[in-house]
Amino acid sequence: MAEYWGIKVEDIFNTMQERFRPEGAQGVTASYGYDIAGEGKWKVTVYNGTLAAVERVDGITGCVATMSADGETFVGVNTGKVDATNAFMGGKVKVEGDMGAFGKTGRMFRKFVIAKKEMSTREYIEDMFGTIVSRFKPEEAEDVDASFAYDLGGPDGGTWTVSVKDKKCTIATTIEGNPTVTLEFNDAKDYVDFILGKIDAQTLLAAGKGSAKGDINLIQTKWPVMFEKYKDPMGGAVPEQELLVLKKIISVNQKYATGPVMGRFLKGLKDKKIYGNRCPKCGRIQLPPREMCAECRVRVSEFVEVGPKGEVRYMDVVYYALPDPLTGVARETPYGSIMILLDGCKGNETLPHFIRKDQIEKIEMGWNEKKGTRVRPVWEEKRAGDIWDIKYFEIDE
Amino acid sequence: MIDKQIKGYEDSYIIEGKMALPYSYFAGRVGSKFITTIRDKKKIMGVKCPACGMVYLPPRQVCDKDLTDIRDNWVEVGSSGTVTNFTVVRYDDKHLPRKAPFVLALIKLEGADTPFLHIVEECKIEDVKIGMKVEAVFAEKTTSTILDIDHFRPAVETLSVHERSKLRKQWVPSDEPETQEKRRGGKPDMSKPVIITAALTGAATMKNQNPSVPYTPAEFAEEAHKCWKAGAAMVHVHARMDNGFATHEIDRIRATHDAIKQKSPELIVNLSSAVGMGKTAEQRISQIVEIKPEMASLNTNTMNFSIIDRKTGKIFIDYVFENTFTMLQDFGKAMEENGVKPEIECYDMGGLDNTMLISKQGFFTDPMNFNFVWGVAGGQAFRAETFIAMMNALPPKANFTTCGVGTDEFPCIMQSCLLGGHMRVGLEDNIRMPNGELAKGSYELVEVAVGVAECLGRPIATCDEARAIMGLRKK
Amino acid sequence: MAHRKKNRNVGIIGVGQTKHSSHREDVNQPEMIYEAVSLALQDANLTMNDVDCVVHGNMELFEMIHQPDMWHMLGTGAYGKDSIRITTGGTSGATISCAADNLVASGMYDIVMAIGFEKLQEGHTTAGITNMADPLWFRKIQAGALTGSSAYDVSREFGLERANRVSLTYRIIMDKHACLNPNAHRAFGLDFSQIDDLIKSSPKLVGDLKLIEMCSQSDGACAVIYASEKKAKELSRRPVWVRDHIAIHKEEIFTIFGYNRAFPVTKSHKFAAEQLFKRNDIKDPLNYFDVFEMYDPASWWAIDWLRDFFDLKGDEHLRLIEDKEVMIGGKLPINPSGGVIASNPIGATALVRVAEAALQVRGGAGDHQIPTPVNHALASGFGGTMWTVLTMLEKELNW
Repeated sequence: MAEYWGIKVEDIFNTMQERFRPEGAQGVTASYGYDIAGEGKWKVTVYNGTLAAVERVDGITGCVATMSADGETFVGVNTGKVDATNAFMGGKVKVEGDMGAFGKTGRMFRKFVIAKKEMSTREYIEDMFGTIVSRFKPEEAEDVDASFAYDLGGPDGGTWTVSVKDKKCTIATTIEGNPTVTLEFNDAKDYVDFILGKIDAQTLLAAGKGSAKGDINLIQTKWPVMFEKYKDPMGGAVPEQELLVLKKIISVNQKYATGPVMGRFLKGLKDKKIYGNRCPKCGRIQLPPREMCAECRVRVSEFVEVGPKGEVRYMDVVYYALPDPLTGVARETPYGSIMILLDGCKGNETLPHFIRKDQIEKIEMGWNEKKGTRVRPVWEEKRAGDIWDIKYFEIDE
Repeated sequence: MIDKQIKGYEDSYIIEGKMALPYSYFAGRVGSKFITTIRDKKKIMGVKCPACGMVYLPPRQVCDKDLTDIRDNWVEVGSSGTVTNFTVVRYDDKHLPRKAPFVLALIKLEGADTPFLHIVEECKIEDVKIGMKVEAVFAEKTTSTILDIDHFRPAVETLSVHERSKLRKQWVPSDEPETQEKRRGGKPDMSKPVIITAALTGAATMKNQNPSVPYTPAEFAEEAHKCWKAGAAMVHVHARMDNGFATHEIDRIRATHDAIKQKSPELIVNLSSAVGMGKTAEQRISQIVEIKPEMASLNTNTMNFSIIDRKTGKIFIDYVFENTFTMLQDFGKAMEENGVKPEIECYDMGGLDNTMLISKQGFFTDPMNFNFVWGVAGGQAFRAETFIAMMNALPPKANFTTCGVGTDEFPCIMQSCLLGGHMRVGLEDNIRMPNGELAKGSYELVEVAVGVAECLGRPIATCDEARAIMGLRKK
Repeated sequence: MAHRKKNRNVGIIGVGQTKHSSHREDVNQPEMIYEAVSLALQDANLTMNDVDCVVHGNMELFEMIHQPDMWHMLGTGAYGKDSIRITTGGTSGATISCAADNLVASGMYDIVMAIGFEKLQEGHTTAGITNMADPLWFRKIQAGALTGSSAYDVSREFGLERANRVSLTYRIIMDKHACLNPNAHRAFGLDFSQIDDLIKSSPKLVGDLKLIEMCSQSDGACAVIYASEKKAKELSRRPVWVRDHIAIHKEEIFTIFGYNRAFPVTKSHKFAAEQLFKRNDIKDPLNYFDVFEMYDPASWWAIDWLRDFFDLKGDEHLRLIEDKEVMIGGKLPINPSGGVIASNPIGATALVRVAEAALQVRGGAGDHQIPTPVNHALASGFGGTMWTVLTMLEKELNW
């Protein structure tokens, strides 16, 4: 099996039991299929909020949803190396079956954490001296002619001389002649800690763990300017900062004045009547009615009763769960949002509303001369002069 | 329905509505650190603009005046402060943090330049006043919001050391001068106020040893001010560059000197004439002549001035600190001629004797002010009997203070205070508290010195008393 | 709508934008704005002292924070300066640009900075849009900015299969462009070979509008600096001249897409483009412009709107896409930046169109720079119920 970032696909499945969060799986009973290209197929079963089985299978059956991806993407998404949304939108991860059900798996498992590999002192020493020449900034070394000797003790120690002359930097693994500055550390590990900023020079010196000879001023003042700071490939000792996110629902009570024109329309609904108004200039009917025809810039005063039956000109089947503006709670999907050309209207003088949920599939939309499905409003028993006095439209059979 | 319809508007009526929307807010790095520090450490942090010196609270990423990026310049501000304005909320609303009536106040915390808004409780609403001192009460149950400071309450009013000192009878020079005989008699005058000096930096103590070591003029001003509030009458200053290196550049030293004087006009500033390693005689004295501080250090002996392992004797840094007789004479003269009172630094009895020799030329004005320095690798270590010997060798009318490197600091100042002398503490000499923890700043060491003086019943000198004692000409 | 000549010419001399992303928990709103502002100042080699006025905008209901301009001053740099706040829905960014242009052209200010921003991860975009509709009736029944009507429209006219393929082709061209733009939010690395697969696999949002075809929800900010002709010439080696802009807003109507071709709804894109080209005497806009930064909230809308902007006949708009003429290197490259589908911090989005068009004219767009000379650029903004703002940029002051 191939490894991605040092992790095998089966590692992800093998750790599911320990990563399982019962609080994220409350009331769930379902099986989920995973088809990882070139790696194999797995079936994960959750029964009544507990992780019942993670099994490798030959074929995926009986699952509410099956996700397919290649091994790299799968491992990447599970470890946070690959952005899950991007992978999904870009088609690298596919989900067949009940998308919503699959989405819940995200809350059922803790993220797979890659065990952090540590660098040994030897690796650090090699990396620190190995990168010195590349960290050298020649433009800062004008007129510098100096050699910096390092004598590091301990099992990972050694000797190095970094020479700077004519704006060039060279490094040797011996100490010869009379270096401008000599730094001695009894243990190379202390040097690593010093460079990584875990311990300061004064403490080391005071503890007798190292010494500095020669032109100390030079190494104090010039070295930090001449060389870029060493970057810890492991990211350093600074832990990632906690970033706060405040989550709230803003909820405000409001009052609206209908005004005489919209008021007439809404009151009409109370009497099971739908009113539009007709522009005296262009003759178009506005639905709901408005005080002005914005195209002709004239006052519109003639109300006309239209419908209440009509034909569907257009229907949007909405799959996206959108919060209800009155409660902030997501609406149930899918639902059909329709544009109805009520009897008495023409062209694009349509009224938007919803279609009865179970009739979405049966709706045909109109198009130019072609008529759409005939529909009629279903009225609420108690009407308050509100757009919801019409519960929805249904097919007029 | 509207009761009285206007003709033509009969169909207009009111509909009740509601808007409910979920949202989140990302506090960002700066905002998150502000809140999490309050939550986890019960500390309030602001950010300081290095350009204009403003300390913003709540912290922000940029200074709004010129968009200077200040996000990493965190400074801790006090958890108590002053009410700069307030209002009484007298209506109830679900969005408000308390039931009415309650007080929302603008509070300027100590060390912050901008006030911020919070609740004031634990007192009668009528008792809330502008100028009132309040302190933060941190929430027990945290919410990762600004309400992790639960509220502010009235703080117990305490006078600063100098405020207290100013209330007592002020010290005036007596006709009967200090004499060697009196000192030898072992009966020091404990009613004489003790002058506390804070040595803020030295030339070698760096931020990585103690982050409170000031580098910039603004930081010096801040640290000096804290020391003054804690009870110091004088600060001893080695100016630094932004990167921390000691400097002899006159402009920088002047900026540092002036910044301190501007923030704490009373305070005596004592500049170093040693400046840092490897500076020439000219570099060392010209800045004193130019700036003319009230006081400056005068070194008395060419000596080793090194860093040596105290346990093994291993030499880390070997350095010779040059102070020839000529330099002692020239620097001393230059200071006296420019109205700068020398603080005569004695690292051993030889230095004191050197001074006595040169003083025969007669240019030193009375009273002479000596500082006995202990624990420099190259100078003497602290011994109680040596201290008494040096004190006894002083000329008549002379004052003495003392300072000690590292753990020598505390015994030497105690002995000085006991013998009627003065005290110098600060991060230049020692970065730790007596219990070994890092000092939060030189001011914390000043607080230790104040404690020593109070133990012995000696009053703390105000700045003007210090001037009178040491014979300074006030500028 | 007579075209009034500008009092004086206006040039764009600085552009800055953040990387657009859905992960900006590390900055709050003003901090993110500050990133764009400092990049724009850097680009123009100016400091905030040089800026006379700041025009700033977004859509408040997207972050649910009212009057953000108050504390955003920390990011905008408007401390002690004239500052104007603008919000006009999706066109906000374009309107901000128009305002900045007008403020300089009028002679009121010599240098004006326009800033648009949005942090869409903080609020609920679609819910925010829902709350812009008439609260008495349409707020309750609409679905934010999501509609499949353009898909339906194009499919009815040209057949579902062809329409789907054109939409996905356009989408993949945008992705290929986005992959060249380091500031783009979504850059997947899609290939044309994935068209059939994506038609099948991408989840549907509304009707035939699929997730892959819809724009992202991004956090991001953009700042553009406008200067008078004199200042622009003094301060910049390559100012980009704002030749003209037009803004068309309409009443709240929801028949904006039109279901009956016999009763055409006057489409504001078409209306705005006709007016703008007429008064600037541009007879063949498709050939005149070298690049078009279009506000394309979804690939279906983009392909449908293309013919409105350029008054194309028959299936010419589809062929432009099928023949990849809208790709970098084609006849009229559209959105070399990756467009709105790739990055959509709404209050900044329309300003990003102007900024990206300006970068193309200046020749400073980096990897997504069009290889052939760019002398004339067009940028569009879209908002509300079919509101349009168009901005024309020119390399030379020679019209």
